[in-house]
Amino acid sequence: MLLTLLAFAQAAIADDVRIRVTDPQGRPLANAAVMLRWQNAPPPESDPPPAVMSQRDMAFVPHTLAIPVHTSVTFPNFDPTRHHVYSFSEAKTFDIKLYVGFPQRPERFDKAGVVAIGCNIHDDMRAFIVVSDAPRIAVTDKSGHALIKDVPAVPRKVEVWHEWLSHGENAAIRRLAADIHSMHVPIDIAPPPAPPPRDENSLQQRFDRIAQ
Amino acid sequence: MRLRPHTFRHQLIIALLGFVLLAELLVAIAILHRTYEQRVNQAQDTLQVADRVLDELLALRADQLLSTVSILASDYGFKSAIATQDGPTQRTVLRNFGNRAQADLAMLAEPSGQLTTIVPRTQADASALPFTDVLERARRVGSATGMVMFDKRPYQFVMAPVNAPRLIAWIGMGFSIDASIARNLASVTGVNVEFIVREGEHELFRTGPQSRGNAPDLAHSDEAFLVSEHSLFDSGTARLDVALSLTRETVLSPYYDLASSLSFVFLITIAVSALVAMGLARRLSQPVRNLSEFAESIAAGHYHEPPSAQGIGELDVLTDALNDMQHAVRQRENRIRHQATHDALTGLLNRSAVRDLLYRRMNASARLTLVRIALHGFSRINGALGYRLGDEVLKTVAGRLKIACGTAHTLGRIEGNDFLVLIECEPGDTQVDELIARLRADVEQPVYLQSTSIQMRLEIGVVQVPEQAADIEAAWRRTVIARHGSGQQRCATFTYKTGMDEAHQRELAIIQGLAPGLERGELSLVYQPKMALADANVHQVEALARWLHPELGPIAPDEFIQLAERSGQIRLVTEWVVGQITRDLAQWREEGLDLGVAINLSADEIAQTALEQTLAPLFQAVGEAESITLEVTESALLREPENALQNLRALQARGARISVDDFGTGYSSLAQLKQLAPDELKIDKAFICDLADTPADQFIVDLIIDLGHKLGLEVVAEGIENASAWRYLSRKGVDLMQGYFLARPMPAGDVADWFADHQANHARWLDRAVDRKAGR
Repeated sequence: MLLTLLAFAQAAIADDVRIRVTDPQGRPLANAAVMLRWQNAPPPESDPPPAVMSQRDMAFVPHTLAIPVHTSVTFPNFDPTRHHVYSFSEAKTFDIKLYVGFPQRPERFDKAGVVAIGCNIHDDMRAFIVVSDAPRIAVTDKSGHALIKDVPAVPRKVEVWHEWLSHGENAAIRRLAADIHSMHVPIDIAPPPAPPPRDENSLQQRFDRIAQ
Repeated sequence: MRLRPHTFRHQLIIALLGFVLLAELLVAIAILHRTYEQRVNQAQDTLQVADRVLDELLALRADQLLSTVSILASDYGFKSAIATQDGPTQRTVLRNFGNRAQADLAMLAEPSGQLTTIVPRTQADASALPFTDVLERARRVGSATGMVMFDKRPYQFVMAPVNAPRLIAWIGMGFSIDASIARNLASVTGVNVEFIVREGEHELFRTGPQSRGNAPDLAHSDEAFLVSEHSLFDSGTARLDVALSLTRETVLSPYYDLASSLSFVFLITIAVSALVAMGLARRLSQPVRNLSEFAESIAAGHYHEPPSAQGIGELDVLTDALNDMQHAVRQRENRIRHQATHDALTGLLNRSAVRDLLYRRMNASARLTLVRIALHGFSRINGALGYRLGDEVLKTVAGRLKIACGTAHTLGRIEGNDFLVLIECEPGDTQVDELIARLRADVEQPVYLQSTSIQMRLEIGVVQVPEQAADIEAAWRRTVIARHGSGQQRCATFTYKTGMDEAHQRELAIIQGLAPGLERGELSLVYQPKMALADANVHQVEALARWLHPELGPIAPDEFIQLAERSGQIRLVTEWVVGQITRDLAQWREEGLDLGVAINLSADEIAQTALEQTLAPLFQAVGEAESITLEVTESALLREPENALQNLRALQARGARISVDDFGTGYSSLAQLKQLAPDELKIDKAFICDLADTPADQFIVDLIIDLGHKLGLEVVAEGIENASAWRYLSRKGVDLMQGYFLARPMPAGDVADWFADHQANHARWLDRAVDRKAGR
């Protein structure tokens, strides 16, 4: 109790926390979801602000979206083609069939977990929505940094998730002392094996080659 | 047409066909051998290529299967079904998609590799994905293919991820490697394909060789000819082998096709060659056969025109040669025929030709007059002038005869100077006389040779045929007889007289029978006593030869002695006589008789130098030489007087008495008598036989007795047959007498008896002798 109070007292003095995620060789890992937890954190909001995962240039943007539970996500399509956005993930299973522009309604993610998003007609398009009940959630930028604001100065726990993590490993978890505001989290992952060269050849490339 | 085994044609055909056959065989063997090698090499290449193609095809199939499976794994419905994590759903969707992919085996595994579902259900342990190596490769490169063994069956196995979009599962599909795959591969590669699964050496499973033609029984009915086998995959426990093979039929069928085509060509070529060869052979052999027939006809003596030119150089040369030969043979034949029928010296028909002609004319019952001609005394001409000039004379005479005969009559030269003319005419035809007159006129002209004039005289004998001779031998003989007759009659033309030939034949028989007769004892001696008138004693017997011929009967000594002389056999007779007398004398001596012997000597014997020698045994046999009397005729001295006289003188000198036989009938040359100086005269019996009644005979006999006595010779009378003659002669003073009245000639064996008898009657004979003395 005392500790809690102490922590609470310390929490009263909120500050930003900076997390840097790299691979074991120190190369920055972008699109890693970073979640901060501490004790006695307030429960997730029941109606957090909605989020957007748009499709632009045949890709999901952002590639990784980290949201609190109960967040509604809209999947606007800015491409001239239709997309069929789906997920078979346990945390959220849905699909929005062949649409352009804004879908009729956003999808609400009520269950924590990683939701793998794909487009049924464009296999290369994939994205991840990390739904978390953690009080603070962020995604690393290209330099592997994530800035988490307004974190009370209490001992906290850092969870890092990256798509390269294998199944079962939900996240890499680090403990973070209350007075530490910056942390380097190297995680033991490697990029998945490059697909066979043939697979790199797109249909167009193959067509062009035949046409030559 | 007959094909002789070694005819030119036959050999030509065989040679041509043989050459073509040989060439064809060599070519065929070379082609077939080369083709066979090529086919086998090609087939081996095909198998190697098929091997590579098979690997490529399997790899390609793996890629295709992988694509198929990858596409299936990308299917949204599939992915959503897998994502349900619902076991039954996953199983059904796996079966469904497995069917779509036409897989024989389908598996679903969690991303970790834990096996979720397997279709079809199997007893195999399915707690973990069996093909970890394939999964590992799939993990490394995203997806993978490989050969696997599952439940002891081979599969091509494909492992692909199910991304939704993250990896949510692994899907694996197996495609059985079975007979239909083998068949597909066979249809692409063109070789028979068989998959075999082995566990160690133990064979678990085999598809059987699958062929392109989708006719599995072909594989069983036709043995594999070439096989290439290698291992495709080895799982450690089981092994997948593939055997590529080609059947003999596949490999060699072009070879067999070629062989049958070659056979066909072969047969056609042989047939054509045979036709060509036969044609060629006929073209070559027909002229040869013509020539051989031509030659055979020449050999048979038929002469034809040669076969026409063939346009084949050698054969035409041969034809010309044969034709030349034909002419030469014909000329030679004519010459030989001429020589066979003509006399080389005179050119007249020769002996055989004339005989031949005569034979034919006589067989044709022609009436002929045969005129046989010889040059009189030709042997003297030959001897005097030599044979060369003799031949000239013959040629001249032949020429003259030929001219005289003309062409009307056949003239031939038989031999030497012996010619014959055949005149066809009726008996009494005057042309015979005309011809003979012409012959004499023409031929009997002198022949001038070496400034010698030789007068020709012809002996001409004429025989009428068939009147005087029925057969050719008789005719031939009788012309000779007639000509001889001419010769004996100073060349007067002599016409054959019937019977001449028979006499001639008898003479021949006697002459030929004499020597055998002597040997066979047909001849014998008889003895006739000669009694001395003075004392009625018999001191001597005259030996007389007798011949009883088995066919001709008794032959008179006059006849056969004369013939023996003519045939030169007289010495033979004399020797026999001497021998016989010698033996008889010895016999008589044993019987107590000491007798002398008178023997008759012929003219020839007297002239022979060997006479003394011949008579020598006789001199030894008698007691004294005076008891031998040699009786010779007057004419015996005529032939060779000097030799005869010399012989007789010698014999007289040895003591023999010489008696002149048959005195009074010959020349009775007193000069000769003087020269001969005989011891005895023997009055010819012709004067004795009718003496009593014939005054002329009495006169002659008186004269001879008187002559003899005056010359100091003894006078002998023979042939006394009656008492009147006996008395007369006794009265006239004949010294010795012999005749039937005293004794007939008797065999030697009877002589002793006769002597005994004579002694008994001696007084009576002595009385008669006394009568003589009284009468004197």
